[in-house]
Amino acid sequence: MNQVEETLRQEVAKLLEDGTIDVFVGHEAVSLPLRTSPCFVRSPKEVDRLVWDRICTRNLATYLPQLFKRPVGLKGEWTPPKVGVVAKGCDSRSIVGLIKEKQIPRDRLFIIGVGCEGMIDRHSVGRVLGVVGLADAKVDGNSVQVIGTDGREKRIDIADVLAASCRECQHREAVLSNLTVGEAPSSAPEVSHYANVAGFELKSSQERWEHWVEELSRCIRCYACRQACPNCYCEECFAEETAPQWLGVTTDLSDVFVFHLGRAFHQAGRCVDCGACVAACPQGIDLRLLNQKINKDVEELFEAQASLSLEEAEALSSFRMEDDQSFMTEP
Amino acid sequence: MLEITLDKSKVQEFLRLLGQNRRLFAPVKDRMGTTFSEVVDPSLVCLDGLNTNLSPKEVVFPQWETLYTFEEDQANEVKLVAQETLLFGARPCDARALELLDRVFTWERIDDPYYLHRREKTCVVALACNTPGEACFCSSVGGSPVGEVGADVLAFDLGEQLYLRALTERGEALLNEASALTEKATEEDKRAVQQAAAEAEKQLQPIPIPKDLAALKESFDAEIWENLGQKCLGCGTCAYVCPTCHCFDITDETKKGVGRRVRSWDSCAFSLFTLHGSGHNPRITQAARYRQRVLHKFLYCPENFGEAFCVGCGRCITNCPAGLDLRAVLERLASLAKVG
Repeated sequence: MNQVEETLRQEVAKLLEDGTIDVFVGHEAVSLPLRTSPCFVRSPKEVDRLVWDRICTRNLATYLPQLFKRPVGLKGEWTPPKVGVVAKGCDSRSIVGLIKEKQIPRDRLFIIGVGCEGMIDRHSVGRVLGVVGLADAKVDGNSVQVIGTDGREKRIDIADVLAASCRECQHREAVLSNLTVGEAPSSAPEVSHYANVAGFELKSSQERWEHWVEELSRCIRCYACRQACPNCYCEECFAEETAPQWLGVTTDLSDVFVFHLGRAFHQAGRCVDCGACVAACPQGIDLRLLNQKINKDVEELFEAQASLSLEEAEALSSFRMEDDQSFMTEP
Repeated sequence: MLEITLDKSKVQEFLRLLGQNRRLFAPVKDRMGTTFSEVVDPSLVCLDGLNTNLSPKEVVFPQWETLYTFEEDQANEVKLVAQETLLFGARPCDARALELLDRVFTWERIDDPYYLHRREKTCVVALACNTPGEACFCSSVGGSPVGEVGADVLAFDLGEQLYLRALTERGEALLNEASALTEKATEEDKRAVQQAAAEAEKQLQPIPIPKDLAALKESFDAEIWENLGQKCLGCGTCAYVCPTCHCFDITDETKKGVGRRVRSWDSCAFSLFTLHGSGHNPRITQAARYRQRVLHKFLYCPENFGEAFCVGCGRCITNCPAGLDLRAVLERLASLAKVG
């Protein structure tokens, strides 16, 4: 057990014991190597379920709004619970976004911030292994020892299998927290967080079209990207509206494009580049490229990144006289 | 039945020959490992992967299809003409899944022509597994890494060569078409196959499966569903990668009086799955939806079809974005059953 994990468990036990929180949302180990699952700890006795390692890729903010919804069928008085959550930089930004969009109440949240050096991307590990599966793995400092289903062992540098959004992450500490655990993370690497977009923008429109045709023809319309995204909390998604019906149910490119472009535009100025959509996609589609392009546009137009603080107004939900108005045309 | 061997250097030629008059579906390399794809160039076929990322069910039950088209009050049938198809290199779990799907689409004497017209034209060459994949548990749910159910031919990878055993007349006819490329299997080959089969079966760790249907019924209000439902994100990944999930939705797409009726895969994890026109939804919580998924497979299907609708391929486990592990769920259900 590492130091952060140990401290985290101790702190959560205290918070549950003294009634500061009713439930804590964290990560727990599962049977598959290099994977975790979200866990909901309600008693100090259960804190040993909590893990903290380079495999806590998931954005836990996604799981918060449901906790503040009145349970179905409950009659009479109901007080929303007090919820604790462990947050990396990206989780914390998503939490800020959700608070500002009034999906979760700040005063009933206790955020434990943890500095993050970047999380392992299971798809990248899979690509190192090729066609064989991952039988076992162990994180060991800055590398991970993996054993394939063919019995072969390999040591992989974590730097080589980091999630793409972690590789370019500039916010490795929680931007909002009640408490921080562990040491401050090392400083962010000197790569542009739009490195992938910059290369893509150089392509011709024909090449871009071909890229997205290839990527999106992989889509199986499972909506894992949407469901894993903390920003996608709409009770009814445009993709499933029937009156009007914006898109069909098929995997024809026209339907798939409308879904992904529609979702990307709904993320404009809101996406924190946590990479949850990419991690969730069973088909390994690089949806991040789409969102980062829009993030880059927002930053260039409004000098803003999404959800960095509770106080600052968000780029697309506020207006400044000096905002770019070049989109306006004469009537 | 016919037992032959095929030198591995001749696999491409073998597939090219058999693919002349058929559509050929086989595993190819993919960024997610391997995946089933319609193959025109057999040199792309990759038999080294274990379970493909997506199951081959799409070959017989496509993600979406047009049931008929319409114009004003005139409906136009879609002509059901399937080409002869060879599904090559499906693992025994996937082949067995096809046999389970057959039961659904011919249930209570109602034959589904859309499914059957493809299925009847599909010849399945299954490839036995020498080693288990990362989340495999076929032998715990009535299957085997060397199982024959649902296949027309069962193949074994013996290193330098493939051994192929015809299981049906269709399979035998298929192998006979390529007889110029193959040799009759020797006693030594057959012994090697027996040994490989024993080795493969030995490597799979059994997991507990809840089989007491009365106890599963009792579990309907158990706390476990609440806990699992809280983790479930409500996406359709598990159902869409599952080789036995078969629920579908029917949608009309109309534009100015002209349109089509489309059938497409659906998932019980979606919140809209059981939403009624009235606005009422009998499965209003994710817990109820997750419970439906597990009980449909392990309670309702055994009641309706005599078998659980899970072949232990593990795709729902390796692909679940919430990290839900069906094996752990089954273990907990099995222990509930024991206590009950």
